[in-house]
Amino acid sequence: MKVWKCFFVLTMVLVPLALFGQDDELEKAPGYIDLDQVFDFKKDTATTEIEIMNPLLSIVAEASEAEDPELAKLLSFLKFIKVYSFPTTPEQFDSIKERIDRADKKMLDRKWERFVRVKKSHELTNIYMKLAGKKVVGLTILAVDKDETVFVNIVGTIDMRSIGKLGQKFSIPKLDSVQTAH
Amino acid sequence: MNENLMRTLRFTSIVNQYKDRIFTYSCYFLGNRHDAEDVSQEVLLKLWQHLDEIRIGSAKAWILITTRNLCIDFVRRRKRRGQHVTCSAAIDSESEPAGPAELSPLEMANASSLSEQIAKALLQLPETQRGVLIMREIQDLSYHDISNALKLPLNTVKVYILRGRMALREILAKSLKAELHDA
Amino acid sequence: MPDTLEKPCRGLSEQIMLYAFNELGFWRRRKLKSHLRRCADCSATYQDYRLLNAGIESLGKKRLPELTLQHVLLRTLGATATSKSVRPTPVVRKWGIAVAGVLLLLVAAAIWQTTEKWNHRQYSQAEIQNAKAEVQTALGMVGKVMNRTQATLANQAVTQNIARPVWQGLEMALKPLMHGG
Repeated sequence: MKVWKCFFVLTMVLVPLALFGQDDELEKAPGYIDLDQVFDFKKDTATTEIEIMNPLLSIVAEASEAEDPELAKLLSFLKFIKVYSFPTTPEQFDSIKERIDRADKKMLDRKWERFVRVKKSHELTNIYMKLAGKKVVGLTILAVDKDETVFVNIVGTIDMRSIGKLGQKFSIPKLDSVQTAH
Repeated sequence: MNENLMRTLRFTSIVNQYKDRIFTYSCYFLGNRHDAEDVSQEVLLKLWQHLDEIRIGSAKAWILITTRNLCIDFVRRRKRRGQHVTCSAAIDSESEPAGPAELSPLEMANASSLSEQIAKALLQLPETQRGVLIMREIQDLSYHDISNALKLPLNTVKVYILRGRMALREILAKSLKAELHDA
Repeated sequence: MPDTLEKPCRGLSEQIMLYAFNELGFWRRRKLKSHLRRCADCSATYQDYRLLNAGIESLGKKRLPELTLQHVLLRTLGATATSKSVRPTPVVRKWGIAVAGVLLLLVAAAIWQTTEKWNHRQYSQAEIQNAKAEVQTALGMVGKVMNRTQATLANQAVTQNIARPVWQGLEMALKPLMHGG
């Protein structure tokens, strides 16, 4: 009798969990960062705002299988992609740079590792990773230059090699100005 | 033999070996039979829960420490509730008879009323001394056993026992003085 | 026990107590015995402790009440000394648990399947294509930033702050850019 009671209770618990568990799962994922909490977006008008999560990501992965297996493979391990960008004038650069510096402190407080910080007169790029052992489970970019401010958060098991390769493939504009390594 | 059966056998064996020791300790520590029953029950239930974590040969130490800790928790809860203890753990029909006496009949007669006073006096001792004295005097554990079980240095155990006995002597002398005064 | 406490000779208090409780070694006991014959205060202290010992010894051990033990056994082993309830045999119980486990797995699989199908049915082809384009745009922006970063790093005219353990990750990401993919 006890066994059947346990079975019944477990079923009642499983059903709602399966149906409604996913949102909680994303927020609890170590690689997730709520960009709205880290950076105050209220005053900015986005030119690009992309937010895609599972199950749509998995569906896109399936749909891309035939024409781009590498993309399909990358996406199959991802849970969430958010990109947010808005235009920037050179006059706004300093104030945005300050906001990014404040966001940087919050990122470091949340135990993100900043592995690149590139700072020039009209350019600031911070790239963060969240690691679980040797795996990269989160990637966040906070970047500003004289034209545009970009925020990216990618959650999931990230293949950095694929990200680089596919990023090159889909990047705009083309890569004529890239200086190759010596 | 399957695992469940082994577990059950181990549990019942430990319970049979130590149930009276747990109850004795709790009775004299708490000074109240009903409280001692509650604590004893709690100790045995915890034993069941943690049986798999207790190594072979460590059951005695585990039982001693757990009983002592639960008794101390109980006393502190009682204090927080502002309850007072009345000693009702004196000699009763369920006690085993004491060992052979080396005293005269008169001394033995005095001793039986004395034992009630001692049980009351125990409750006035600090918890650390009380617990160690109960283990030594009533449960006949050696200094080494107590030291190993409670993870206290041997000298600390000796000091607790020394001070506990001295304190008992003083408390009894005061209570006797009070009785004579009332008489 | 007298109503006032005698004070024993200095340094002997502990020995007297140990002697009264039969814990003093042979040679010290002999020496102390001879002292006790001559010293009234020490002798009185010894008598106090001896009586205390006797009183403690007469305290006696307690027996755990049967009812308390029964409660414990009920809550742990589920056994009772008095009632004679019929419980399923271990073999029957095992099979019951196994069947329940299989049913649970089947239910979980059915829920999973249903959820997946439901999710797929939510999106039209147009939505999926749109999402694909957005993914490509997102990755493109990542690539753009990485390009810029690589270009800047290659110039080496910047402030760098690179965490060594994860530099390999960046190298891997930027290698395609460095070597033209």
